[in-house]
Amino acid sequence: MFSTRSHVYNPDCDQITTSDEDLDRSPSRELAHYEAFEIGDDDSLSPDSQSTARPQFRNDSVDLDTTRSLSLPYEIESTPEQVVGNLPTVDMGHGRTKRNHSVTHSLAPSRLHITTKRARRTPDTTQDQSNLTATNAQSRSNSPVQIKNPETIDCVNTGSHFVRSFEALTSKYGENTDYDLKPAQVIEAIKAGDTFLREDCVDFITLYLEDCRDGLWKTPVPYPPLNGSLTENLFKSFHCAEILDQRIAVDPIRLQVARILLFWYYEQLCKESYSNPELSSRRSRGRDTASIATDVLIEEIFHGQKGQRDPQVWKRRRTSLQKQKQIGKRWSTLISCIGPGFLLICSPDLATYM
Amino acid sequence: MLPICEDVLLSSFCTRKANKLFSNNGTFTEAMIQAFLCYVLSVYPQGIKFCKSLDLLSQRIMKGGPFNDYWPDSGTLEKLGSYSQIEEKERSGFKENWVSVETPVSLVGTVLS
Repeated sequence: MFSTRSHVYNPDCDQITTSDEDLDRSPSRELAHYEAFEIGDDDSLSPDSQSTARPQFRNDSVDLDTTRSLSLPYEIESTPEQVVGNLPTVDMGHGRTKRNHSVTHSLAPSRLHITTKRARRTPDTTQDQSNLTATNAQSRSNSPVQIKNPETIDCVNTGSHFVRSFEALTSKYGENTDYDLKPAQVIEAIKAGDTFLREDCVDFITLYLEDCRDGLWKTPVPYPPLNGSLTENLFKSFHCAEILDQRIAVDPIRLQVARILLFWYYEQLCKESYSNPELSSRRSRGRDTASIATDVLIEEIFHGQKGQRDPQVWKRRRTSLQKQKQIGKRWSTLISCIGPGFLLICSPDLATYM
Repeated sequence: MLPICEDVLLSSFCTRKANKLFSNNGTFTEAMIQAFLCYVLSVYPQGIKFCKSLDLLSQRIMKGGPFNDYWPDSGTLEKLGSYSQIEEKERSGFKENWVSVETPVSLVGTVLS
């Protein structure tokens, strides 16, 4: 729960009254929040804002009141110094895409002014808009996101990409489908999709991958402990730092490749186990082919090693194998659709979702 | 390579429970991955095209050998450098008729052969 203020905006007197209240992070609010960010401009991030609030439109109503006159006050909910989570920005350093986990955005006066101008439309235009949005409301009556605020409705009418994407995905993957995704999950999938490629892909390829041209696994080894002259130690330290820096950048790809290969070879083992009469005979209720294959794999990998008979060590290794394999399966799903090349230019943020 | 039996895949640990337990981010479920794929394939076809332009390089990397011969040419890198997801979305606008994604799970034969 975030402590917020509810700003009631009255277009007639051009005033915003404020009252404190709690804001729950319901999916519909998050949708409006993301939508507002998507259509926003850079001015909205001005730090010298008079009002340190970011508009968040009250849209938690279950009905779509499109006939509401703009001459009546409507509420703009905003959060003072609200933390905007998981919104993409570009790091100008390495150029890698990063998410703002703790960046505070504020509403600039210009953004409030835009809101005000939209609210000051002539009555005729407003009425037309209301009729149009009422039609849209009927066609969207099944949408899980019920939008009440006039500005958000305006976005719908102007063909907001995000809202239409949300509805398209919801119709295929939302509640009442086999996938049963909640609105917040659909939003999360869209957010991930909007940053699925790294911003610095060329830099990454040319600066880091190029050093591995002889093979991804042929990595140079950092120098042993320093015992030479001062100049020699300086050179070794610098070279060691460069090697490790390169590794930090490329190791995630190595890890993904290793997990994918683990999953693929594991599936091969399952296939062979399935046709192996001895292993098939070990199947029982609660122990299917995959479970037996896992045990066989761990037995062979860690044969003769310390702790092999320790149940806790066994369980830890088994859990680790399943975890790596599961992540490998998810990556395998991705590159099956997008192509193996995706591994090289995938956003680091998306990698954390896997 | 041998074909993967469907029942073997189904019998693996890819249940919802395992999904929550073993993913780096347990909240990003496999259903969300399907939605994600549907979204990027529908909205960012150019971005997908760039990914596919690096398929040979990636396959070579996965096999572990030197990949100098598969290095993308300067033209590809230049196009990749000028690509922007936001620009593609704004330029192409919203397209109707999104198609659900069918994801084959295993690519052992195609990638490692």
